[in-house]
Amino acid sequence: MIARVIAGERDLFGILVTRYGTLAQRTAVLCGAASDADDVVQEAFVSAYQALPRFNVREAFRPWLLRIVVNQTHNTTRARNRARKLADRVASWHHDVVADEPVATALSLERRDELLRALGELRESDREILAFRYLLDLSEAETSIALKLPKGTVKSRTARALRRLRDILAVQRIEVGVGDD
Amino acid sequence: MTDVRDELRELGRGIAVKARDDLADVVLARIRTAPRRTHKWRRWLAALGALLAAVGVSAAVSAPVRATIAQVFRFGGTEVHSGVGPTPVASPSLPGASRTDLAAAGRDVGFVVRTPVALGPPESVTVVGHRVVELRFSRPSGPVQLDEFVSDSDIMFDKYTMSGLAQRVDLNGGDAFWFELPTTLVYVLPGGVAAPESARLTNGTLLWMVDGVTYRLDGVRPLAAALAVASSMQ
Repeated sequence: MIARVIAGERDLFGILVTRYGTLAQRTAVLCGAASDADDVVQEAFVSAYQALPRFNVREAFRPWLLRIVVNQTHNTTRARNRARKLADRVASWHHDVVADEPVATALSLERRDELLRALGELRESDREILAFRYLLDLSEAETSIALKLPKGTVKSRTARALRRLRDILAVQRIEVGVGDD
Repeated sequence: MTDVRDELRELGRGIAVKARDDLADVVLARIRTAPRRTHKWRRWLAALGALLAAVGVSAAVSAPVRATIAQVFRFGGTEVHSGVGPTPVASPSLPGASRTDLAAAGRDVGFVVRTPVALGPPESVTVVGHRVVELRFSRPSGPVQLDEFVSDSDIMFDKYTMSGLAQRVDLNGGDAFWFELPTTLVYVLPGGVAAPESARLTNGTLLWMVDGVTYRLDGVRPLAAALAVASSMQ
């Protein structure tokens, strides 16, 4: 299919856009694209199309595409983020992930907020790796390609990020407990 | 207690973010209108695209060498149809065509314009829409035209063969296509819309690609003479 797109069947690329559009959009949002997510995703697909000839058809397309989305997000947001406080960034991340409409989920709203708050307190790289491994549910191999990190690094960073997240959640529990007394 | 990893996955499944419904349309529209770049990698892209297109064509036009074209095949920015196509016009004109000279033409289209020694210097040089160079020659047997353009994924010409026949031939170790019988050639504008006012009848066409540039020689027959002209490109 990808070979056919490269060979000139340009409209077939539309199928790939439809198939991976939502995943790309979520990735952009989780990487902090916020209100730029629409633009970032469009830009990423156009870049992906232009870069297709460099894509090795024997490799997986999904993580390759996501790496382009990540790069595009970072390029777009770098200038903007420099001028913004970390707190604002986290706030916007919360808002985008939670969204306004209620979504069917097994998590209680309370627990969801706890998790989001804890994720928000993590450093950027920890949050990103957890977003890829669990929120987007990508494998270690896919995450390694998408974030351009060695597999071993993905493994160790994921473990470290999880540890930090658990610590933050534990502290939150204590604080909530104290408040209830 | 539930593992936090499962909770994160659950959180991920609850993300309400979706791509906009018309994303594919928007992206395709942007790809179609993306300006041509003549960076090195772009040339490389064109060459690879050409290679893959040629492989596709080999499969589409199977042995024996002379085969009936089933439906449509693409080769070097040209889409070949089996059918009558638009009616050729008496004096075909291509939108955005302007007269120039060889050196200026190369600067305009972004690749080196090559000429066949066998035909001598061209009588006229025309550039169409910054992407096609047309060289015209006057020969005792009639007018000859050589078109050159970057053969990337954009279709620049529709070609209709009424006989439904094309012959795959070898040109210096590469694939070329020979259309012995008259065909109708239509210029395709950027954006993919054919320009009916450009429809012209060609008699004896050799189509080939070198280094990501497509060459189309119209009006030299028979095949051996066309191959000799193509081999004299400099």
